[in-house]
Amino acid sequence: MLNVASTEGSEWRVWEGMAADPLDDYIDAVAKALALPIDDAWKPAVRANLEVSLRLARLVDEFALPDETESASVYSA
Amino acid sequence: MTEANSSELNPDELSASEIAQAVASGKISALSVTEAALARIARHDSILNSFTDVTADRARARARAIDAAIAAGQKPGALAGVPFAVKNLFDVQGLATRAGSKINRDLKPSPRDATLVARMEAAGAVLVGALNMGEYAYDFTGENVHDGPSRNPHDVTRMTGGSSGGSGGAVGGNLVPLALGSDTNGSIRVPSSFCGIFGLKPTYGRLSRARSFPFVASFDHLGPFARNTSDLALAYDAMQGPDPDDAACTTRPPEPVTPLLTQDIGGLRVAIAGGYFQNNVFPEAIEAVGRVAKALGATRTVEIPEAARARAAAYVISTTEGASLHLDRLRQRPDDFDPAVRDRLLAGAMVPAPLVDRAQKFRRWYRARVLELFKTVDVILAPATPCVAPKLGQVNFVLDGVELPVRANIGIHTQPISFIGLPVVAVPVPLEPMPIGVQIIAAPWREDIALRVAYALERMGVVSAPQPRGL
Repeated sequence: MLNVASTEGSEWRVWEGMAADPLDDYIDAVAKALALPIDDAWKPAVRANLEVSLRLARLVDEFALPDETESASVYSA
Repeated sequence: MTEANSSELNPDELSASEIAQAVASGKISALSVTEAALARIARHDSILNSFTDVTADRARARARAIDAAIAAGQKPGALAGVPFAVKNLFDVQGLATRAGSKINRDLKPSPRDATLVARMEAAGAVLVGALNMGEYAYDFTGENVHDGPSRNPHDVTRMTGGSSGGSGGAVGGNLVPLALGSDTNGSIRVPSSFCGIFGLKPTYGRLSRARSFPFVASFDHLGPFARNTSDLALAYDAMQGPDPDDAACTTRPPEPVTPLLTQDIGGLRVAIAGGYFQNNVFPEAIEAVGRVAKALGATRTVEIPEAARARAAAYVISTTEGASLHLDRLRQRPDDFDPAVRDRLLAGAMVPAPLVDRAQKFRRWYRARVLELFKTVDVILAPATPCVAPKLGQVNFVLDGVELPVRANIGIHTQPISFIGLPVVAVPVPLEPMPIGVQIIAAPWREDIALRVAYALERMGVVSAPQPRGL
């Protein structure tokens, strides 16, 4: 329904072109750095979810914004 | 309520405002209304599974106190004797705030009520229980692996939607006239749509979140569900006001909407959301938006810019803020999560920080563009969900010959709106065999406009909460 995979962006080749092992290695490394226990049986689902998040993050990353842009805040009264 | 004689009043058939009027005038007792609600819950909730806790003793004590106050000549409040229930992420004194989880059941019982629970009771409402929800609110289905799924009151083989699934089921099933829920990415509007009821997601910061269990602080909202607009407005008005216990809560004074509901809406500029909001939806959603648009005389279509990217940014912020919230629980008790929720949160912990920062910066850009739209329109119409309630456990649906995942697509039309905190009333269009909702979207702080439009649509007979068909 949301066809984010079709968006182009060469800087994202680091994720797009990442073979199974490097992304798995990344998951292992972050899990170790954050002291997150990840059972081997959970890894395929964690990886699948991470791939979705990174695909969607790519859609945002590709949108050029001025350097001065600040993060959103709450509506003021 | 057509009869004034107390012997002819049936509390099972009264709206919240009718109950409040009847109780305040002594035509019916708060205790009898409470007993009727408890009896409905006992009769139907074994099927609907909307309640996780029934606070019967507390409710009876509260109802007796209201009746005594009225007998003593005191004013009982705008919600006198009205039964209500809350999603189980609201603190309720004496209950552990489970937030749909197994882990939180080990928390100590809450020492005091959430601000909104206290404000509802200060207006005379009677809390009768806490409601089922998707684990830690990271859910659009209303299915819970620990407590079982909430079931749709119009077809118990279908989802209620989530994450406020019990809130949708309890009001849609007519167990209580009012319920409270939370909406981070659509969790009030989705169950409202699937269960055929009215739901209000106010402006971000309008209602206090104090003493409720969070999910994504950037987007978390609390709000009411009801079976008609007047009841929705009554509950909303009772809960407004600043609260120093919620850092995001506005300092604006309450702006009551109930007195404004009957104002003419003829001068309002209404448009239909185009593009993203008209693609990839089922015919039922198109039909529902079309009926509402026709009734309002809306022919103009506006493009909400970059809505797909807004949905993507909302997804990224949700998964990462959610992961941050639960990091210690993921370390210490990973086996006690719903595995699907755990795996989403673990993945969220691994998204690089610059991508989250960029999502928040995009949010500011998007907010500014959407606010520009509101210079030329007062109301934007959009589907609340792309489909009617799917079957419980349904994994995929087929649209235009393409098989798509259900969970990932239920909230596609709600996420770009809550992402920037716009107020929305979800109104039910009573299609057969299942109802479906439409979002009435207004500019920040203009809940009054969205509620006035909902009220007008109700008077025109275009939107209504159908009686439960599955019980």
